[in-house]
Amino acid sequence: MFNQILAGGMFSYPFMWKSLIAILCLGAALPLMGLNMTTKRFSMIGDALSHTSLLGVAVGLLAGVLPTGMAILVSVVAGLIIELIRTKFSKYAELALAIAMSVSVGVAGILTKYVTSNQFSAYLFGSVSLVTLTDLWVIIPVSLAVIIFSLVLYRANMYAAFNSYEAKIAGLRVRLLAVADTVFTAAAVALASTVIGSLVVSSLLVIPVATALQLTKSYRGTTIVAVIASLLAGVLGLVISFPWGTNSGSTIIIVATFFLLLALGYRGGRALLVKVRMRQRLK
Amino acid sequence: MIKLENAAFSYGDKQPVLAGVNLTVEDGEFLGLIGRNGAGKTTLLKILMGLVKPQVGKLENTFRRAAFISQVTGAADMIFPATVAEVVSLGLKYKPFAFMRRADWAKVDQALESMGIRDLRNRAISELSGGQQQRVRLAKALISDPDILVMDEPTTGMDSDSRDEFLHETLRLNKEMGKTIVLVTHFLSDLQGADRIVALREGKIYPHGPEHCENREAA
Repeated sequence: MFNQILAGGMFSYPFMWKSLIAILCLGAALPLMGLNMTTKRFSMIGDALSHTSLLGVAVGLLAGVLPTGMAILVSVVAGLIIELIRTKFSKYAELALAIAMSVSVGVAGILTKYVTSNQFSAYLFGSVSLVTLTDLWVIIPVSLAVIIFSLVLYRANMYAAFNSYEAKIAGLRVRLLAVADTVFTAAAVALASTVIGSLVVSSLLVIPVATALQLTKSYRGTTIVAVIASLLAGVLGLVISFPWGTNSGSTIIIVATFFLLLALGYRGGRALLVKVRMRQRLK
Repeated sequence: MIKLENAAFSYGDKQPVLAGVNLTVEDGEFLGLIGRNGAGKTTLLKILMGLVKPQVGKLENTFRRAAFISQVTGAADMIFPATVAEVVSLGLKYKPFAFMRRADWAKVDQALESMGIRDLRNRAISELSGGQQQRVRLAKALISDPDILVMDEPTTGMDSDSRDEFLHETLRLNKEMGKTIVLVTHFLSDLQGADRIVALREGKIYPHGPEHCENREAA
């Protein structure tokens, strides 16, 4: 397998390069938004948005327009509706997610009946052959926008996640920030539906963050480790999926989960070591 | 000094939360505010801090900079993935597009020093004891060098040791550092060191009896 990779076998195909560029962009953007959502205890929004992106893909395929573009549009609109419900009826925030998720899948399921292309199922778990040059023209600028947004508003996002009430009193426009967060998360999730797949993309929002939380104490460290874990899982998953003939998204998630298990093992091992040392000291 | 005259406020068509409130907070004073749930204490604080405008009445505020400490809501913010220095840095005035510079980190260290927790700088906030976490909250409030500290039920959810430590530090900030303190609470015992205590009842401010207050000259 590695001989094949080193010999340039898999990267002699142009679609592999497109997928690699897409995964590098999304691999950096997704965990940044994932950290925002996880620390604001709203990590399930990724799941809801990825399902609405599926509806966008179905509409796009049916209407003959770029599925990725339509996925962004539908996800952003759904994200704004979820945010509105969350603000107005904070007690029902989870309900809004469940409704968005089930309605999107229901409508998408009906629409697929009229889609002649067999591409739809590939959007569920992602495929390396799905990323077109047109997709890249959307993925690169949107990913860059997400990364710049996360860096520029790094401290604002951190404060809003730490204590939104105090952040508001300190003069931060917390509600506007939450809307921007949702819009950028929706765009990043929808874009990732091609190479990672709508059903598994939310995992790349949260699993690298969960991995980072096991390894670091600081917010800065969590951000950096989450991005590195996500990029490594993305590239490694992509490279492995080609010779194995598996869905790229599913493989990426399995690799990301493997990293999480390693991190949990490392943390557990360290805790055990501390315990053993303490017992030795007490003897 | 903050001077609120004849302030009234209501949410929609409901009965007014505040109905003709007159309240003055003097420079260097430790003012305690008590009242039942729903009495309008938080609304009054928001008005004092200029976050909400009273529908009737006038507010005069000569304080240069205010800092706010909210209650620890289920300690959720204290399991946040951040170091002590990162949490304290949040108290610096936020400017978009601005990253932390060396001078900003020096201010963080200075605030940690003033609360005697410099050695905790790189520890995770979640690893600290309740009392240490409250010192971090005070350091975060102090970093912007406020002349008034407004606290909304800050001891809610604290164990008794943490609460004692927090109140001791609050009193030190008032007596030694000259910070004006406005502390809203349900518990009179939180206001042992207050110069003056007022109660908010049925939308109005009433002086609270001197028997509850050690350092007070007149009710």
